Amino acid sequence: MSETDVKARASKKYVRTFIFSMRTGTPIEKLHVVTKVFMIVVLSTLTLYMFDIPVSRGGPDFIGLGLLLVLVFSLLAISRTAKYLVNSYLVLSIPVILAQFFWWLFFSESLPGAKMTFYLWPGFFPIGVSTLVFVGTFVLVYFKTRSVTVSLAPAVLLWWFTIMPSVLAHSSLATWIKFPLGGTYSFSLPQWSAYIGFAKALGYAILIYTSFLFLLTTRDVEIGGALRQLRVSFRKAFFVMLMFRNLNTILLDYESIRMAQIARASSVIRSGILPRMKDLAYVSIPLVATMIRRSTEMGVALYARGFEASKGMTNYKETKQLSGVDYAIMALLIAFLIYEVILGHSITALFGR
Amino acid sequence: MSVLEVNGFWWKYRSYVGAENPYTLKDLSFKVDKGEFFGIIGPSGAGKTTLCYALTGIIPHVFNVPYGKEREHLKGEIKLFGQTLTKVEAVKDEKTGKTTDKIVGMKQTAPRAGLLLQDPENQFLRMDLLHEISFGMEMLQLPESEIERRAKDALEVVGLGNLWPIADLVHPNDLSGGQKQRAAIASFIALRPELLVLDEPMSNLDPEGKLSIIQAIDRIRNDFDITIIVVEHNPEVIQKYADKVLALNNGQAIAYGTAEEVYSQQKLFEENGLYASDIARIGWQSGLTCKGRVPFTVDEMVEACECKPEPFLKDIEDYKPDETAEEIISIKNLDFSYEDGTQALKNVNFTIRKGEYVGLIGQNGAGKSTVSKVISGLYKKFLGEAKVMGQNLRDKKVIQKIPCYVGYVFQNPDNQIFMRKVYDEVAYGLKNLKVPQQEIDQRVNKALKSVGLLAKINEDPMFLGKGEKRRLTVASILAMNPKIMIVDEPTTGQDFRMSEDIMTLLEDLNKSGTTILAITHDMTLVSEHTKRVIVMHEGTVLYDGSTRGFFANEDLLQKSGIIPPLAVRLSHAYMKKHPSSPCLLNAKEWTTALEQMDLK
Repeated sequence: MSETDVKARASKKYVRTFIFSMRTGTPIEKLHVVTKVFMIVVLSTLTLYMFDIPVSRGGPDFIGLGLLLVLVFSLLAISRTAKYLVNSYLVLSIPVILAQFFWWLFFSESLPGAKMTFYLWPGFFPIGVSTLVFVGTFVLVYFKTRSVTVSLAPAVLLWWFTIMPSVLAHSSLATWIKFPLGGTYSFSLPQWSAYIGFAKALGYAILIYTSFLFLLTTRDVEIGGALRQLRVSFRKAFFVMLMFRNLNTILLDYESIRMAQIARASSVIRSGILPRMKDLAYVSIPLVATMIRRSTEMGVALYARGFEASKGMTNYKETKQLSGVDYAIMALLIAFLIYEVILGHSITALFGR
Repeated sequence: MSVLEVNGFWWKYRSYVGAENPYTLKDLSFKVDKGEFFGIIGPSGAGKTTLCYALTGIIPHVFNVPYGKEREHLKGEIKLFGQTLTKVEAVKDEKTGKTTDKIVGMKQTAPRAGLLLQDPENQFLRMDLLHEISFGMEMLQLPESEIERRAKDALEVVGLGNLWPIADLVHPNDLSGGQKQRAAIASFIALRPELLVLDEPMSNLDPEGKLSIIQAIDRIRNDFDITIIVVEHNPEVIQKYADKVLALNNGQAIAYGTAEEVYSQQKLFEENGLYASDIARIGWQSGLTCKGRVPFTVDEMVEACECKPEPFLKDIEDYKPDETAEEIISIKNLDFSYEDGTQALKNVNFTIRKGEYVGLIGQNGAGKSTVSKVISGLYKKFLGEAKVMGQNLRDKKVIQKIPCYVGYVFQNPDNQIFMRKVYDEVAYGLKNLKVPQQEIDQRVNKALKSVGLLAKINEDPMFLGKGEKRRLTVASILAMNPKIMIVDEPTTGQDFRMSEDIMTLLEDLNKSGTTILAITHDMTLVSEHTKRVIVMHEGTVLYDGSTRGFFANEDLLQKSGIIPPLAVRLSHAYMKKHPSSPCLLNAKEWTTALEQMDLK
């Protein structure tokens, strides 16, 4: 490659993936799609196992789950796709994860162990770690949105979460100064239900974000190539590839349709959830019409390029080989799987509780 | 030798619901010789795209006919490269001994014939340019080295050689309009076809993009000796390049002959609503001739004008800003960057006052749509100052209310029709604004009346024609009574009459007080309808002032990459000989000037 070619490549910083785009030249870009699928499968198995370790064997391994979540988010950060997630699906996925947490908090079966107190209000106003959480969240969200109300809501919510468990509220490490204010409002639950709820929430977060990692960092040629390597016929491989490719197209169509909808005053008067759902349903009319037109023309395009009559397909830069990084990640995952599932260890137990 | 022979061809699409479809193509017969540049012209719905499908075997192999009705849906014969491409024949089944009608002929025309669709985006099949170009070759099972060599060549030929080093990283949809179209052409060039059919390859491109396409087509025709069939509205292209022209209307051939023969028939163009060039229109109106027919080119027209004294316009109307009018839009030091870091706007400044009709022009990617989306509150993360009706767009509450003041008509009608009934569609925005039902009825009726769609109030928008859909989208915005209306490419994909309709509609709206900002690539429309233009170039405002001032300035034209309409080029050519004559902008001005010259 000549010097100008290298420069041209360096100037192309992002490449489109199934949804949004990722940074070029990162180790994630070089990962084989088989590794990514393997990762989804192993992480799901691990997660499902880790949050279901019975109390008698030490309970869910939430430090282990936390580590896995950190791993997933580091991969998202390395591929520079985290920002797309933050701007779009993160908000959508948080209610799902919170719902999981509360469900397991209140509805887990009667579990052994001491009760644990949760405050709706601890009876005092604490200055401490919770204050830092409040200020930190507020500043971060404010820089992103530039809106006081929008940043206040998550800051208050997270602040409340940090003062909720009695252990944290009363710990001298977490709470430095207390101003007595109002009465105490609290409820008690078996200690385990909190741990399990937390572990479940972590686990579902891992499942959701791993799938996003796959969609955010994979391109059609990788899927097609991997299917070829698995000896799937080129026609079937192509249609799978086309299906994933169209995710990207649909997303772009959705964006322009949504803009047209905003231009028609769909959000001028702030309305409840129901009208919003209705708006979303209306998007489907132009979206489906566009999809139908596109798929008809795609059939024409396929014919015009000789797809129908073709008996095979040259492998021109379609496949890629597994690299050292692929093997390393797979080995790490397998090691973790053996450690947790087969040997029955838990990282949380390692640290002691 | 003829590459293509069409004899008495009829076709009708199968209908899945309700009544039978009428014939889309009726009794077509023509020939295309090897190496020829063959032009197909005609208004919307004339059957041009259907004909392209039939010429490449997509009809009847992708769009098929119901079993047993072959003879009804398809009549006549098409021969490609001397072989039968499509024909219905009675075939005897050897087992049963019964004879049934069957469609016979070549099943596959690729790679010998290629078809380029109107919208290149819909024909892209892959997520990177490299595989997009090589896909057809992979299907042919060419060796890897050959694919690489041909893919690189093909990109060079269409002028995209600079993209070769990053071809595996670029998504075809990320290219600009002209580049997309050229990439699509490259994907066929690589297959070394003998015949290339292009369906309106130049619609929706800026003037320079159009030029790059036609130059690419002309180059491949010479380099590879390919026969070219082009569906195109632009008379300039057809007149300059086409050897033969076929004009269609309602599926029938209304004219067939050399470009010179077809383009000198005034009646044909006026009766069928076909695009005639500015030069021809001036010629017809003022009765000037050259070589015994209406002039075709600028040079011919200049020559024809020589027999007359110098043309002049008594009182040239020109743009004078009304300083007293209310400022509707005011943009100061506006910067905007996209998420991936590309800066789309750099220090943009302009003011638009009440009652103005402004053309926003510039090449693809110059920042026209971006600035309009900032004005309409769709892009919020800008730097600098943007005010609409004196209210700052930094304020969230103002942004939320923007749709009440700014109406944005988007480019693609299909992406902005949300309802299954014309009435509901127009009422949608009003319901969102919680307008009382009685007023909704009034406003919907008024809006539909002004776009001429009142009769279709209860129909499903999906079944409206192209031009009607476009007018419906204008009505939907119109009903919301915006103070300013932004129209993005109002005439793309529309034929001559539809374009005229929509432009007249906008002009009427402007006269009744609506401020209009029109984003367009069609310089003829700009020269005919707008008094003021804002010219954008690489994210900055290059020129802001009278349309005449811009078109008269050749340096500015060159810098902005805008190719002026024929009438303006005629003025430039004429002014070289007669420096005192004014820069006339359009056919209407030229005709009036020539008439006044007679009076003189």
